[in-house]
Amino acid sequence: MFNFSERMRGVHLDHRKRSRMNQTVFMPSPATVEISLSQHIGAPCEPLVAVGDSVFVGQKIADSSAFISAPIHSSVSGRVSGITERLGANGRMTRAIVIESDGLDTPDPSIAPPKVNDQASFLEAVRNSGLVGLGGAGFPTHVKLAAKNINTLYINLAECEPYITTDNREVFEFATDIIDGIRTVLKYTGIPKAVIVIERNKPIAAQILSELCADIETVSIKVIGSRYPKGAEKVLVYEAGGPLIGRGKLPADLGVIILNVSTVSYIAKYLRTGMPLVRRRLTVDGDKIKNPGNFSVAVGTSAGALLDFAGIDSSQINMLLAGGVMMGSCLIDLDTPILKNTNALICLERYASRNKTPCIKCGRCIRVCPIKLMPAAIEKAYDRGDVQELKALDVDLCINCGCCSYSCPAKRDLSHKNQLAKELLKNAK
Amino acid sequence: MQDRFLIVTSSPHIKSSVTTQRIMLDVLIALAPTLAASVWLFGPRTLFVTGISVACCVFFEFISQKLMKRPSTLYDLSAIVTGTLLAFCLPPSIPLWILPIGAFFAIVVVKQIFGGIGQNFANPAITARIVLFLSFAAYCSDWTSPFAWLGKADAVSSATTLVSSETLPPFTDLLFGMRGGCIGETCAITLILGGIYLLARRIISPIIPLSYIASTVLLCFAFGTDPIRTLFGGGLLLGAIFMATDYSTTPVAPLGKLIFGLGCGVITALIRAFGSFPEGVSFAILIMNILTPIIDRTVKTKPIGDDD
Repeated sequence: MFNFSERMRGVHLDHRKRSRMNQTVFMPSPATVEISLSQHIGAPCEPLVAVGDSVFVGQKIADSSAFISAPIHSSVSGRVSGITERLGANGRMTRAIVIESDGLDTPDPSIAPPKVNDQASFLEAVRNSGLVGLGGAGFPTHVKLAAKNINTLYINLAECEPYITTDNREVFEFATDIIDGIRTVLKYTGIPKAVIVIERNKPIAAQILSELCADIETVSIKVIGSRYPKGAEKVLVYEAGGPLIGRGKLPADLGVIILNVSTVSYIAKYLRTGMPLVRRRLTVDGDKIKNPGNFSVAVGTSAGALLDFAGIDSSQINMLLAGGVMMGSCLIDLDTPILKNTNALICLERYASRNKTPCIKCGRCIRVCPIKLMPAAIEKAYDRGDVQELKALDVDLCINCGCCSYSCPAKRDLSHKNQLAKELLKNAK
Repeated sequence: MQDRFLIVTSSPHIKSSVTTQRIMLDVLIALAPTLAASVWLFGPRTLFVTGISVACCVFFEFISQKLMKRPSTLYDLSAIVTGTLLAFCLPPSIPLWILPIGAFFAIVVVKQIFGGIGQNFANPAITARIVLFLSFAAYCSDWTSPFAWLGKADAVSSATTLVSSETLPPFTDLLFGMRGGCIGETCAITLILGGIYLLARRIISPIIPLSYIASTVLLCFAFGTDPIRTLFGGGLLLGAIFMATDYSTTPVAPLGKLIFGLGCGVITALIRAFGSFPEGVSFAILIMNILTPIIDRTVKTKPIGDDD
């Protein structure tokens, strides 16, 4: 009652997982793809091809020598027609390689399953696959897997955002790949055990995976309550009985690694086929969408092309999100290409009102914050530029889940202010 | 270039259906049974008094926001809540001309001068009641007996049931509010019902009402007062459920709420036992309102993962 327990709270959201029973639809490669050179957290890649070059499906077209980075591959066969610049969802200009498809989808002849026999060759293979976290954050997977002294691998199957069902579909369609991927990671990294963490609202997925790993001692299933934001790394690990990832700590510092279920499943697929990450599944849904679904899409396909393929009238859409309704970012136009880490396109006709009324000090923002911050106080401190106070209010711990803004009866942009306050604090140091 | 524009805002892109207006509506819904009970107990005049009080509060809110060139916040229903609560803590026989004075203090002096909803440091209804009680003591301590309006009882009984020389009515009578008292404080059963509604709708937290009521009853018992009299004799239930849970004037953190509730309990019990007034609920809440900013500053929630 007094909320003294160290429970990470959050909010109950309407799940709207209508697309979970719809088989993934294969979308043929479009006539043109625009492959962004910034598909992951970390350094953007440099192009390895020039305008006029012919490319195959799976051919490496960009790479970087930076540690936190992953190579990028062509998702179609055809000819490089240009290298453009585009305003990304993060508000920064990013370069992109435009490729005209020849419609044949000819794979790169050099593609073959990688030879993996130890940790070094395994990490090398994961890097060569271009794999990044498919759950949304897009952190290069080989960097995560290179961490030392890990005692538990957590597999994230929380999928706590409304609408999105792509990870759920991965279980329905490729459950054995998931288990294979986990065993492969455990084998080559020497991590002793893995825990698959599932939200309670996916009982069939939990059932399928439980049966598959019943005989595997090193892999267990942990079902947690379905409450947003259970899929946030910090919350997920804590809820599953793992350590608390405190200020400035990476999960690896505390001996844990978290991989999204589709990410680990892809590792198994890559080791089998050698085809780099050039396609991904994403959910297309929204508030007025009559035919939601999951689609296997070539990386670099434009959002508009996918909507057309999905039979969605884009003239009815007022807001288009890459990712979920709680944490996704707004696309600026329909030409924006799909990235490796785009797990959903959410089309909204009705969007949250920005009409704010005065704060009534109701305390809902504190009640729902998984980190137990005081967003209303942070807003006031930010508005008067009080860096000392922002520091005392620990705004740097905010995970940007958006629960405060969601639950505010005065409809104040609390999580937005939190992000601005974090920047202010960072720049003041 | 695209021929149409998409809307771009920061996340999250959905918001809950809870609004300030909805919260205030819930409070009004929670107060409605008590208003109905007051009509049953003290006659239709209570409805009239409440109506005038609400009308005055809405009027002063409208006028003061016009004069101060602030956007109108009448839609949030908070002025109606204040008007209702103000009427609830006045006697049924209160002269009507007193109501605009109370409404002026509540809305203009306590609420709007300090910046409007969410900015007031004290509960408007409580403060206005105290001003009226101290200024017009005779009118404000004129307790009508229940069912006097039907001619079934004496027109006026002089003292409140809080004074221990008065005999306590039977328990069931107390539960249904059959005693002299303010318009909205006597009917325990509808007040508790309203409280349960607010708890179920998650409008209020149980910490303040429970800690306030429990500490008052325990302390008064230690000072020699029957718990039944403490609980049902005065305005404790109305104050603890509806006044001491006002968001703006009470602490935000759970521990702060506990301190607030216990503080209210101690002050109420001390005033009732040793003070020169029979009732202490409104003074207790006002004093704790004043201490709230200090409690808020001292008791902060400790974020999870903050290790220094």
